[in-house]
Amino acid sequence: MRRVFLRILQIISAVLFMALLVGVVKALSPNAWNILSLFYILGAIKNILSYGLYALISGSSVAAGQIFRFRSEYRYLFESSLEPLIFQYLNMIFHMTDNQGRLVTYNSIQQVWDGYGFGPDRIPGIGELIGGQLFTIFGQFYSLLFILSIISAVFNFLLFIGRLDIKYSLYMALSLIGPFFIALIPWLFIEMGDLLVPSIIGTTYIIGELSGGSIPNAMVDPAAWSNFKIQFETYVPRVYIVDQSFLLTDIPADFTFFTNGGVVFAFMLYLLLELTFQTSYIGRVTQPSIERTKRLEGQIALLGEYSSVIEREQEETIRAKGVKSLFVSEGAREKEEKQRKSLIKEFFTGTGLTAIKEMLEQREREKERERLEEISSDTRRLNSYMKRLFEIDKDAKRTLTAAGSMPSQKNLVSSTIINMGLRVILLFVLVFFVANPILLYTAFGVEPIIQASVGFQNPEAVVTTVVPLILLFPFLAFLIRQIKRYRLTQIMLKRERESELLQKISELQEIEEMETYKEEQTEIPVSTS
Amino acid sequence: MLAKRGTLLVMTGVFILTAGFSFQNYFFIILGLFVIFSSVISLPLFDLNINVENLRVRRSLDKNKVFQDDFIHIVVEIKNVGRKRFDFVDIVDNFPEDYFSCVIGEPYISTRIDPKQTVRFSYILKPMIRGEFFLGPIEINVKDRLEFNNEARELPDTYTQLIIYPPYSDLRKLDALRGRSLGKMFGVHRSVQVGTGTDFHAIREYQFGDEFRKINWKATARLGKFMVKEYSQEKNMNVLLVLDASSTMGAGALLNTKLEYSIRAIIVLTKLALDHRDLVGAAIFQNNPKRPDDPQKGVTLLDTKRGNQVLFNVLDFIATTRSMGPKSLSIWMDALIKRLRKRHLIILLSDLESTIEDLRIMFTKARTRGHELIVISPFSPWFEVFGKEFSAAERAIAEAISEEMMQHILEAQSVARSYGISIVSVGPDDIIARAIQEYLKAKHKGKAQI
Repeated sequence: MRRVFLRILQIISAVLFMALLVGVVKALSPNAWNILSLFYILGAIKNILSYGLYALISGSSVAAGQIFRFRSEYRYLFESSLEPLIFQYLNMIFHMTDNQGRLVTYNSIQQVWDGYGFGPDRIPGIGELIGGQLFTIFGQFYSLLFILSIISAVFNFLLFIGRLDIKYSLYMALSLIGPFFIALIPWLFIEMGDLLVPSIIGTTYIIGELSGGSIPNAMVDPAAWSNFKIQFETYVPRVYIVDQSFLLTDIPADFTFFTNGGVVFAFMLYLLLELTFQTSYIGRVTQPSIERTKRLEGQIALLGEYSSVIEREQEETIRAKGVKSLFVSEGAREKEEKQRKSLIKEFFTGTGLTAIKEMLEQREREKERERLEEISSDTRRLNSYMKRLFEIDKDAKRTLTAAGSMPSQKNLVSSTIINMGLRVILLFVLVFFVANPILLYTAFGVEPIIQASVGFQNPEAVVTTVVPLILLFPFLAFLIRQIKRYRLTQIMLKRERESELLQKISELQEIEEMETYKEEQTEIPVSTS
Repeated sequence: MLAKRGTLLVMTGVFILTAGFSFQNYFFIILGLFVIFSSVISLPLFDLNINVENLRVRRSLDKNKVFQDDFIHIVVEIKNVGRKRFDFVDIVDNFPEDYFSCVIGEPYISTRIDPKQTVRFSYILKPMIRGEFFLGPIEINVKDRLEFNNEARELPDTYTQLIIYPPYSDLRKLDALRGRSLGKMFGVHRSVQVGTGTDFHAIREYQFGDEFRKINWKATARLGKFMVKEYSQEKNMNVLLVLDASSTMGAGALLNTKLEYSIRAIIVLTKLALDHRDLVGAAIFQNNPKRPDDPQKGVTLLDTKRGNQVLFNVLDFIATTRSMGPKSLSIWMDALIKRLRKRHLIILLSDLESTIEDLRIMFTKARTRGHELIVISPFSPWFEVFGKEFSAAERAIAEAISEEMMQHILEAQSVARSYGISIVSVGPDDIIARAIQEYLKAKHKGKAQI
């Protein structure tokens, strides 16, 4: 019953998660969800292996043939017909295609390394073919990342539901916005490259040379960069964010802010996070108590069970062997005593440490038996202690299981709803104002000319409001803490002063009592005489 | 302060916000703002609402003194006396884990405490070694409901003293054996003084000088000669159990030291002597390095008494003893003897790792006032070698030391013999049995009777 609220929150979270998932899928162009990418990757790996194997076999066969040719009487025969023969044979076995699907065959080792032909009909060498396949893998893997991100979101959400750990809900949120990142980031880098590479030409060559080629050419050479860009755009599928509301570059300063798709999505995602946080809290507050109760009840039951088994075994032993079996028999005792005495005698007659060792080894042998006996004795005694405790202290079972520590369902529900409601409303208002810094500038009377400047029209203008506001909260917290600490110190000082005063009073009282006693002592002889 | 989780959330928010700036995209900016603000927004509210001082924590134990093989039920009670709730509180009750094991329950709790609510949890500890220990402190970690902010504190004055007596198992064995092998000896070894008292002892033939009122006429008529009734009185002893608690007694594995076994032997002897209606007392020989000008010269004495409470007095007296300081047996004995007004049977438990001259003076001091002294001497190698693996060199050294110690004990025994004092060299296996034997022997011989 106590966990009903937790289940309700989990269901709401699941519904919200599904809605967000649909939102993400719809927001991106359909090519983002191409499951065939996985097969393309596998195909490319297969191709790379084929190319490699072809190169290896052809290379080693030709090399072996060359070596053999020098040592043979028929070297002219090898020279003229060995290589074509090898390639004819290999071309029969291998069926290789390039990226455009054309059949690739080679007739000489030279062709394998360098390729042949010109223009669009050119057949590239093995190296180029492998490079092309690597690009394919990269491109298809990039495409696959979208699906992986969604799978990760689902996986982390399920983990969260199972473990109620806030960590998984954070991963889930990051995975949900992951596809947007993946769609935007490569093109952001390309744009950055476009901006940077031509601007640093001249110095970049020197940098490239100085680095001994450790900086890739594409990063410093405009020609190489543009070639890289062409390759990149050929092989990496471009995924677009089709829902324009996710590409907001201007923020609406009116009520349309609340209806904008991107804003609503961000808000819903935050709401999901908040829900998972609250769910996690309820789990953390209620779960330990439930688990503790379960564990303790299990332990107590097990203890009783083991204890009765031990008692039964002992009773059976007594019945079978008589009461004496519980104690070491007189004969055995005498035997042990004799053995001990002989060991001591040996020791004192000069055998030295060997006697000690023997005695210790003997003890070691008995150790295991003693340990088992100790465990069973401890179990029995603990069981009887528990029984006695439960008889004397009626509340003991309740405190051991901490059953009373679980918060009431009513309080938990009301506090969660109030807390969450307040947080969400406050956050929404705060974000609205921070995202629209102009509103705050107007409120704080910033000059219109400054408000109209280009800098304040950019999204970065948010920083001017977000930084002070974010710092405001810890600052306020710090102030409150300092005030509380000061008050606490004052209270402590007051208490200290009071206790010092009381101590002084008691010291004075003691002195007074002593003086009175002394006076009385001196008065007594006078009065008696 | 922002907790780990709060910091993680802020970092995530900053990352998303930065991405928003890079992409010139308000979707990311707004999401980043939500995430960042959600983690810091509750900071001031948390500090405003949380007053750890409003949490009153109390620890109670079902007993403050317990035997080593017994159990203790510890209840921790937390009450929120304030008007604000604590959304999430972790409370950990610390205990010395090297010396106690938690057998049932858990010494911590994570919960929420509403205003005026009281939360209780408990656990059961089993002590592993005797001594004086302190449970505590209690640590509190107050968090906000989303665990973004926290305040951890160690509560002051949350230590509870706990005294662990040596194991009761030895006494239990003593009880179990009574009526069996040891029981036979109990009756035989009563020291009696025949001729005085009121307990009937026997009927014997009349001898010149016997009082007429003691003549038993029935027996006289039956046997045809004068027979008299003889009465006896059981005589008691003042038994003083002395423990040498100098540093050498503490050598060896934690539960296998000479001191531990000596204490166990003393407890058993106390019980046995009390059962024999002797007066029992105890003394500890120890030079505390922190008190160089000790007026008692390192001797702490618990006067001999009789009664049910004595066992617990001895337990209290001896349970918290730890080995420390150098040995000065002759000075200790001198100081002790000066404080004893009557004849005592002194049973000293010491490894006698002192010079022969020092031992000689000690024996002289003990005997000059007519006290009887029995020395139960735990032989160091039997205790210290236990459970250790030696290399060839270590083995040779250990053997040499053992030989030397053996020579020392033999010499001490020979010196003691000349004073009529017996030194019994014992190991961990037989220390208790030998101590019992020596006590019963002394009792039988009627040594140091009052």
